[in-house]
Amino acid sequence: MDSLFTDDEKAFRRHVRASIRAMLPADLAEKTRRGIHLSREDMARWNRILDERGWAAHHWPAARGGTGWTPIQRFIFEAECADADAPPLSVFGVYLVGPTLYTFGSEAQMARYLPKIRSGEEFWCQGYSEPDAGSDLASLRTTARKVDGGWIIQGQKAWTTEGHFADLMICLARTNPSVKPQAGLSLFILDMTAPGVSIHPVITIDGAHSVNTVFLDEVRVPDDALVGELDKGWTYAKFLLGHERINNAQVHRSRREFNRLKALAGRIPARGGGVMADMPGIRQRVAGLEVELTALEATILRILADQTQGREPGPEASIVKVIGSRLQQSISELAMDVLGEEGICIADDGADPDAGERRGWTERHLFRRVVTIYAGTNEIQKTIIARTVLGL
Amino acid sequence: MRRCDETLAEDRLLRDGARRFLQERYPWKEPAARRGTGNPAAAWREMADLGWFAMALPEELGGFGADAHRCLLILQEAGRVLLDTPVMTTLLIAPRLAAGAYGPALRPLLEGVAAGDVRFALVTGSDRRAPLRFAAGMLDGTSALAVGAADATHWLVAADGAVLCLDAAAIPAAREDARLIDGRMASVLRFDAVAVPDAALVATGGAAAVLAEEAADLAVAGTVADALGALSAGVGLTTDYLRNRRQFGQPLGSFQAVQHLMADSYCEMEGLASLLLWLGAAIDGDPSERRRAARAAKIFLGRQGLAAASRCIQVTGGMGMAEEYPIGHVFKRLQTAAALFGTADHHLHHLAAG
Repeated sequence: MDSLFTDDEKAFRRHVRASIRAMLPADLAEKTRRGIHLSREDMARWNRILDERGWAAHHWPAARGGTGWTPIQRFIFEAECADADAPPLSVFGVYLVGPTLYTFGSEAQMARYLPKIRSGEEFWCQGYSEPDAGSDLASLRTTARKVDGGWIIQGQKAWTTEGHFADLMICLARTNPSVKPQAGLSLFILDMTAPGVSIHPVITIDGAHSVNTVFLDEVRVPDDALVGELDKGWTYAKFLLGHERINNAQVHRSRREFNRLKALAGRIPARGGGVMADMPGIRQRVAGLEVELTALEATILRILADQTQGREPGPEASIVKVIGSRLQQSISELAMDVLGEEGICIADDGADPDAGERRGWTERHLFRRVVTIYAGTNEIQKTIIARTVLGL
Repeated sequence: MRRCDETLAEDRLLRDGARRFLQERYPWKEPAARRGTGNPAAAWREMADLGWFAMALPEELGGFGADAHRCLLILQEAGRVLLDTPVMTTLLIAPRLAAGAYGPALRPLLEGVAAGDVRFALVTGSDRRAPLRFAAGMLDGTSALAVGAADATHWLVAADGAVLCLDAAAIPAAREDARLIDGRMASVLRFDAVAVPDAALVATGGAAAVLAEEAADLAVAGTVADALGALSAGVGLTTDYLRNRRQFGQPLGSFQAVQHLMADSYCEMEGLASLLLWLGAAIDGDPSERRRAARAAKIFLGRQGLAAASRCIQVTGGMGMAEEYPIGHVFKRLQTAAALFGTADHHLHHLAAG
């Protein structure tokens, strides 16, 4: 898609590509290729390396420690990180909490929390969903009760990704029970080591531990834990979810995995001779996926080009989560068909150098069922498109 | 895609002008009301007066130097009203070939093109018929369906061995006309040892192969633009209908099952728009990228684009099935577009082969 980039942007790509290759330790790239859930230590290490270069919070405004890159430059940087198999940054700190704090938080909150998000020293989790408040988030029941010098938070959070190693939670709680559900919520910063916080692992179908249930039993937070204004939490939370539509499409990871899928199909033997990549049906599905992936990349570039030129993105921004999430699943679905029997065995890595890669595909395939569910299910997204874009 | 605000404002002016003109002069009419009416030659001259056929020519050849993106905007507008007049070759393809290194053969015609007196039809080979082949001054073979060939003054022929610009009145070709399902006319042309005058040679040999590929990719771009315009009109009509039509005491559009079908159509339409933007930018770039972009857009049109149009019929029910209502004709326009210049499977096969 070279014709969609300017010469300056192509030069920028060469520059960041060379830099990332020089900065990225080989063992971290290898771990990223293998596993879907990285350890805190691995993510923190890459976070620190990027921070030393000033690139960890690359999409933040320059005044807050970001780079001042254009949206297209950020797109290029993220594409190059994915292509080099750089570990993903923990999404909550850099992508969700950072922008929330520099948009709605106090100067004191920014000074206290932003530097440690950039450096990877502190990890965050998101306390939004609850057992009885998933898609219907506004019905959440966790409460924050005003006491002298602070708040007492009481409730239960569900599906808390990375909660087991997070230092802090950005927590949505009800502060006003007597108004309509959306109007009575506030956003708090909560220390995960505070008395009353207990964390229970939830094992997902890929066999891994990345999500948790978090019980908040009379957890006390100080007055300055409130983000922005009282009872404005719903507005802030929605801002964030909207902010992250493009990130949620995960287009760069998809491009990288698609390239790896093509390589995989070139190695796995086909029944009756040759390799899977030679089978006409597989080739056509690969080509069909390539077209869909390119359409998504072009759509995202359309949106970012508008932003780069100072224009608000159009309604097409709402579609990228729906398309991007389905595409992530389609890639791993095809990988499972390429792997066949090799994809369904729970095996130790043993001596076979390809076993780790195969296990990675299977685990990703299973865990990827989540991408059409999280950050607003695709059904919720389609309802939003129908109502706000099509006016139905 | 990377257009400054000023360029975008000019794009919008051009698009709005074309939209007003077409809706006023050539609004969609059901086929029964439309057949046998209108004067094609007058229609061409009217569009020429708007500058459509000179816009893609460089200024030194008397044109306005519009880029491919702008030409595609006009073709999208033509698609929105399901315009019968087959303007694509004259508006998009011929001017770009005339501006290139092999343009001189086309240049004597340019004045007539700008005035709307010269009407081109693109004639390409078909892999299901005897190949179009030019050798030793002779043209042989049978064409694919060539939209507008019966009414054209000149045929731009992309054959093996040469790209030719033939005077339709002077060339002895057997012509078999057919009405397409979208109401437009197309022809299959058969050439049997037809002697081609030297003046009709645009390019030969290796240069012809390069030029023929460019013409084919431009034809895909024009076809996708037309189909996207039709689809966006169809989605607009469908959502209007869903807001107004009531069943079970509420608007059809308030049912979530219906909303999600339309959200899917919207996602697919925007994906097609994005690929067309890429193709529009790639037309002036590296030919291999241009070819990949053309294949991607044509595949997406044949799969997702057609599915989106089909869903508009599903949610409008009987109205979508009725010949006198435009939704079904949008579907037929997309079905026609999907079949011309290589089906999705054809392009997928070549893309898959690398």
